[in-house]
Amino acid sequence: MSGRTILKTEHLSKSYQMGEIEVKALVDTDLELYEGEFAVILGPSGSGKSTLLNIIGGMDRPTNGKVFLREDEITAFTERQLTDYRRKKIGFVFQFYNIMASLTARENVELSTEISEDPLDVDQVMIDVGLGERMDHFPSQLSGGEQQRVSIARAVAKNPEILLCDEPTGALDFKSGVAILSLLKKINRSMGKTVVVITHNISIGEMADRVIKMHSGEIFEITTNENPIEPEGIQW
Amino acid sequence: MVMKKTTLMLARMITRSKGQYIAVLTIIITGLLVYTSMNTSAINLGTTLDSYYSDNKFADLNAQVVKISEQQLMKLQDLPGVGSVQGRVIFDIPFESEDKDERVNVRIITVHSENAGINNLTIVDGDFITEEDSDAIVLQQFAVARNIKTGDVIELRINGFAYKLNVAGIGASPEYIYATENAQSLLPNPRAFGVIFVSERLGQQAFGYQGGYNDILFTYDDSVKEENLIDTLQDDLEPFGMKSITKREHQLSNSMISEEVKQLERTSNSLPIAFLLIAAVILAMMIGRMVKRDRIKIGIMQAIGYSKGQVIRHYAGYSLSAGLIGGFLGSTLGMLLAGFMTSYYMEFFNIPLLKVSFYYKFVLAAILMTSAFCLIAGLIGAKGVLKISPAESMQTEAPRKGKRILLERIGFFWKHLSFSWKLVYKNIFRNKKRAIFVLFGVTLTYALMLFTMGMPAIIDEFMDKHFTEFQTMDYNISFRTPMHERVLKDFGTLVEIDHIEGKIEYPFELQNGSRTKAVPVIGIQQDTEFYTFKDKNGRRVDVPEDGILLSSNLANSLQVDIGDKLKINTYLPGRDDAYVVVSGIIKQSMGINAYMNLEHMDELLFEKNTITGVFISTDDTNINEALKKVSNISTVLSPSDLKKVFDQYLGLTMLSIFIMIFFSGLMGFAIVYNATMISVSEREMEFSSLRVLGFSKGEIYRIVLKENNIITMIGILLGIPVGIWMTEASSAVFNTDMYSLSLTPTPTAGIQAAAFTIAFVVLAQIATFRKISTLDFLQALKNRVS
Repeated sequence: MSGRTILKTEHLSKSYQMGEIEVKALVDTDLELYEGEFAVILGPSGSGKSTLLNIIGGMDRPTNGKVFLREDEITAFTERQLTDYRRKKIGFVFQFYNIMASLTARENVELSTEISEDPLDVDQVMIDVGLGERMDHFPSQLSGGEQQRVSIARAVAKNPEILLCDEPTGALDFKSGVAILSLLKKINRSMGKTVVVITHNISIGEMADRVIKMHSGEIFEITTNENPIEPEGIQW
Repeated sequence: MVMKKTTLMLARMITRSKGQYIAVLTIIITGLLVYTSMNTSAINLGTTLDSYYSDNKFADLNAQVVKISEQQLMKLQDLPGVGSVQGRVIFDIPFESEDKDERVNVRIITVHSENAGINNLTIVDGDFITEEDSDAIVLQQFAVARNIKTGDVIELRINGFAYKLNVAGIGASPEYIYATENAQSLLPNPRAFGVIFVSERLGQQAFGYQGGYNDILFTYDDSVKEENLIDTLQDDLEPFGMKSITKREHQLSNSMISEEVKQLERTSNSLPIAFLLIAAVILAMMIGRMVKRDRIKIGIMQAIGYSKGQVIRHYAGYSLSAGLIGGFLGSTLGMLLAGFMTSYYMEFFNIPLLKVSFYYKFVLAAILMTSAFCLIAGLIGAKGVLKISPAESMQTEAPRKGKRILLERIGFFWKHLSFSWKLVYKNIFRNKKRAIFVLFGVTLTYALMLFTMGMPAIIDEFMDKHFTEFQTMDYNISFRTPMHERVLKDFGTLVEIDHIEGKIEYPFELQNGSRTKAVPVIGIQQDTEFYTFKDKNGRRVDVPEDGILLSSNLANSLQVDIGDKLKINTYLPGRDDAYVVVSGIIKQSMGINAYMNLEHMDELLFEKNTITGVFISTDDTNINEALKKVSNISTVLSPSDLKKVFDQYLGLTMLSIFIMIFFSGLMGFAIVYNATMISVSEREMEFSSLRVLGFSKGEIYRIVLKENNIITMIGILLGIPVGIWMTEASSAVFNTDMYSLSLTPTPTAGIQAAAFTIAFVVLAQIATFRKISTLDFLQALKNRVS
């Protein structure tokens, strides 16, 4: 596996104010992500993994350091360029799905395809994520697993280069969690998308091509899985 | 066409908040209803008037003289600027009523033989005069009020002779659209004053004016220089005993109706702005709160790739849609209303023509204006989006800095509060913006209610004060020609009199620089018992020995202050213009007048010891009957009768006030309801947490109730000065030649306004209670979906 570098961070750090406390969320972090890999960023809460994900996803800016998508330095992007970056290159999946309650499953997906340049066929994506029969349901009529599928479909349908998933199974039961991981793996394999999953669930690391372990805002270990297991084999 | 998903979200956002949306729409629609209907009516009224005036050749200038011959009159035709000239004979005579105690005056006016001269009549029923010696046309208003019909025979007594006139037709005149007897009457009383048009031959013969006239009408040609012509006429007409020259703009009926049109225009342009401003403020606050509530949704949109501009547009779309829908509905409904309003005005003013046109430019202007207001409101409201970064929005909000609230520092007060009250105060003080939004709603509602509820009481009071404090005579009698004051004694023999004072009441043109105003100047005894003058601060003002007192609206119109010198232009034969110093400005709620010491006025403008009428106080109820025998009396006005006429007119004003109360009530409810609903939807999570902690629905509701009670109380207190300010500021709109109100709301209005405001808050509370009762708190806690 291990293709060309798609994304690279250099000496990335981030600190911010949380109420009255200054939090050092990320400290001097260097990381490379490769084309088509399935990477899992592992760490307990507060380890800085979400901050890292937000910065590489163009949702937040670092206090110091640089991020490159191939040759483009996204940390030097203007607000407009960052929006464009999120629109074209990145797909986000969140722990709490965060889909729009007032839109149906399909409409939620269309919300993102409407602004993308080269979107996939929405209906096909809905079928691919297993929601072919429930496209016209509103979020309140869907289970947590189904809502997360909508969230994934929304991220995938706009055809991004990298899929960033922040605790995608965090709010789901085991069975739904595994199904979601299978879906992500399928997308990684069949579409060749780079998928980054952040989680505190060590077991999920077993299905990754690489596991990046974080603690207190720093990456302390990166391991490569020679034989990643299938999501269905994971237990937690 | 497939709807964009952001538009779809917007549509569903509107559906979800339909109560609030409709409430805001109501305010916008009301504002535009007023804007379109009044503007259209004003234009319709204006154009109808113009074409009525031009069709009937309404005079540009009118001069009154003692007598001028036909030959002399013809010479005036050659003056530069004069288009045409017509002589008339005009006299006021008593009209015999079946009710012996009723005093009715009619004005006999001669008309052009073929109704093709100046001030022509529009015959609304019957025919024009064919039999010159016996036909008459009766002014429509008078005919309607006294049930006179075409074919009836009316009997008039002129100079001792009885004339039986055949009513050939009923007519309307551009000169008597607003048919008042004179400037003092202020309001038309069609039962007590009418106009009868007769042939020139009959009029001249009856009044002994063969070959002559006492009234001249002029129309201008294109070369006219009005002021020059008036100057020339003043000189040329002096030998004929010139009494007055009146420009069209000062002609009684025309000036009243023009004032009405102006008033309509003023209201139509100021009131809607106020409504739109309120709607805009509510929208801005609503959207501001929505943005705060939808923090995560906004973050997600940005994460997906929507720019901040797109997100702002999405939220501004909420208010813009309200502007477009409200603008369209309001202006369309306004057009419909304008049709009714114009017809109503035409009927009210007796304008036989009716030209109702619809002006689509107002619909367009209304939509543009409203959309601009709402869009700006939306952008202001949505500017909070700029502060939301997608990454932060996903995180739980950092807890606010825990500070002690202000009240906690007042140890004594704080110590004595129960725990739930402490919670209430902390909630209010820690969510200041939310509290301020609700507070704003309550304050505005109270102020609006205070303003409208106060109106009837204010009008009642000013009417009452005018007739019980300002002027207290029972009768105000005017003579046909000035008399020596010794006639005062003669009155004692005719009626039983408690007190009598002579007066001079005569129209003069007052001038300050380029500003002029023709008003009745009233000369009264320096020690008058019939008038009590007060200045704007309520201090008594005495009648000066040799100065002049002006009603505040007159002083304002002439732009003069105490100590300034005014010129009195007189047309009285053999009299020069005079100068007087303004010695006081007085409060007078009805009418526009100047007052002078009778003796000084005589010296300056008349002959010594001359009076033109008397004021009487008497319990004698047969005064009309007794005075009928006196031939030199032209009018007997009873202020109490005048008050009755006013009361009738007030019915009309009251109706519009009730409409105002209804709309401000609606607006008040809209404000409070919106403020409360937003606050409730923001607090779903908080209520849910409290439910999980074990609070019952009732307990949560009581906490909210206490919070709202405090805010309502403060809102009402703040609303008092705002309402007073609104009332006072609106005085300007009501200040005309007719009324001059200094408005201050009464305490009763304050209490009524509070009752209404509390009622609205209670209604809005019911919505809150329903929300708390139906709250699925587990779902709310679990749900991070926007």
